[in-house]
Amino acid sequence: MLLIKLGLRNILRNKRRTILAALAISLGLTSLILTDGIMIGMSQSLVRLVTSSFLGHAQINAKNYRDAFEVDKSINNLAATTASLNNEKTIQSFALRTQTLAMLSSASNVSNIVLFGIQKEKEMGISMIKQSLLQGSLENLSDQGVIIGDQLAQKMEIGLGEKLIVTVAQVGTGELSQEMFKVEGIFSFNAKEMDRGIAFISLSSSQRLLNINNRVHSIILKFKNILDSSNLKSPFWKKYSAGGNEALSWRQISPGIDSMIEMGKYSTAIIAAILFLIVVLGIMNTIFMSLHERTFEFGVMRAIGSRPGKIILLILTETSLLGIFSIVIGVIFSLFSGKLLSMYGLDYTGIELGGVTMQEPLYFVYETSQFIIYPICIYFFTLISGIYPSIHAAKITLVDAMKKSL
Amino acid sequence: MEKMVPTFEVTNLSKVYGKCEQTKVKALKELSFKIMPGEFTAIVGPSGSGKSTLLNIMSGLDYPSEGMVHLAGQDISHMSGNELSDYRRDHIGFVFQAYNLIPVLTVKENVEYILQLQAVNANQRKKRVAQILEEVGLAGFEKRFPMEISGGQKQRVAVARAIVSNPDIVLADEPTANLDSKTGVELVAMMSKLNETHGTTFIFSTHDPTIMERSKRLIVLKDGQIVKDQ
Ligand SMILES: Nc1ncnc2c1ncn2[C@@H]1O[C@H](COP(=O)(O)OP(=O)(O)OP(=O)(O)O)[C@@H](O)[C@H]1O
Ligand SMILES: [Mg+2]
Repeated sequence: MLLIKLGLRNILRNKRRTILAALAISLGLTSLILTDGIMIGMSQSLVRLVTSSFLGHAQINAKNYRDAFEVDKSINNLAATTASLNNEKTIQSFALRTQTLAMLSSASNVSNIVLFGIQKEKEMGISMIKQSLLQGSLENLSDQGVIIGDQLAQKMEIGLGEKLIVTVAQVGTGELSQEMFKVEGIFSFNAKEMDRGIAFISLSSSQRLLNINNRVHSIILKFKNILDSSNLKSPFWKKYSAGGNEALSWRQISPGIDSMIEMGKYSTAIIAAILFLIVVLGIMNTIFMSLHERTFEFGVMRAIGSRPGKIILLILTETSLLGIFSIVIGVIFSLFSGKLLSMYGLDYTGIELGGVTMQEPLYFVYETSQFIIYPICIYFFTLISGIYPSIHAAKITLVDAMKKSL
Repeated sequence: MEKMVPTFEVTNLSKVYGKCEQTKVKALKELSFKIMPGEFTAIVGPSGSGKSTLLNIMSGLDYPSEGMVHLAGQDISHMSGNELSDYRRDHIGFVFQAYNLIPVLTVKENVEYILQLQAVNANQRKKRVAQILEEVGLAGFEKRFPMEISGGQKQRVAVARAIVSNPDIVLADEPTANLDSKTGVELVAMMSKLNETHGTTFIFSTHDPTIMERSKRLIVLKDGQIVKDQ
């Protein structure tokens, strides 16, 4: 009780210094929480971007299909697999696709691209093809229609309603098969490789072109909760990686994004370490400054019979109170600025990050843990910064301390 | 004497400052004397004669180079840090030249602080603090902070704090040095009165001749040696 009274009065003694120190600590805390929230926001938005634009949360392919995308490696036991997927509680929807290398020729140019056969209704719930269309519509994609990227259209000097020839090698025989398609849609994913290098036709047309009957190359999955697709330990993956197939999460399909997110965590940790260091050094300096002025006072306390431990306790109580005070301010700051950032976000749209282009601003994502773990860390770091100065103050030689008065 | 106050006994006390031969200062040279219970003793002498050094060692703020200091039969020259803290807390009252008080505590809290260190219960603390503040003429100033009272009043608070715990001895190093001579004389008169009413032993150092007159015993130091004791 006496300690708290003394501590409280001492930190209120030099109000300006206390407020400045508390501001420094609370700004440190705020930056930590905001960095963390923005990083989570960025990861989530990257994941959303990657998975929702085209890849899906997960895919099922024939085993080793993704090594070279060979057209003859189509999914095994398709009927049984889709029947089973229909009963999966975690799966919201899925779509079938074929995928093949193809050559597009227009009157003026030739392009080698990757041609996807898609189920137009099912794709709407899974990918952003529909949302990415600049012209045309996905619903009206006909049997002889093709959707291409805006950059490809530019290169081929072709527009909506014009025709081009699609050439593919048929599965099994390797014979070339050619058909005329009409451009029925032009999309832009804001990603060079996709906008220049892929095209979509209907699933049935592609199966006809490739001569593969009802076979497909990929099942694109959408989970009800994206976290289920990130959890590589879930039994789901094992269950569908059987009978010559393999089920892969977005984390395995797009390891680049996964490692970017991991890197994001690293940078949060580095920023945290730097901030903690600044907080510690800043507080130590403040405490030392105030202790220097109070040498005589500690001398008196020691002289009249306070043990050194009491002095240490007093200074730690003071830093403790300073820490609590700063945390309260910091949490209020963070709630307020986090609220603003989660409403308006940081506008990074259009900036390409590791091959994908940010489609939405970076939002701050609240997590309760941010407001528990970081304040506790800051509190302990504040306390730790008080230890060295307090031991220093407790160790003063009394005779020297008393001489300060002369 | 209501209370059995033991003798303060200083034997062959020497203090040497500095380690290397050239800078060595012999501040005290084989001093021996006894302080009897209830004494009111002034230590005087020119500047640099060793008054502060002697008081610091007697109060356990500093260690002697040689010799022994006994209080209440206990040898304090070989005590550890915490033992010395407790020794000061339980046996000694302090008055310093200046900045005696804890600035964030009020007059009453400053006096009460030492009783809290001794874990005296709240009721008793209240009673004793009120009584002692009355005696030093500071009733009505309880809630003031040290910043809000005069130098003479601050020294009275310091004396009140020194005596409130009923120490064996009150040590005061130039308690009047920062006061004008009238206030200084008043302070010593008050200490003298407390010495009579409480029987507390007082030892203080001073330069001021008017104050020396009021002491009952005078120890005169010169160059670390006692040249007169009367
Ligand atoms: N820490 C120290 N290191 C070296 N010498 C010291 C130290 N403290 C005191 N001295 C020396 O010891 C001698 C006695 O000093 P002391 O402070 O005890 O004198 P004093 O009688 O209290 O003087 P004053 O009346 O000026 O307060 C002086 O010569 C002083 O220079
Ligand atoms: Mg002196």
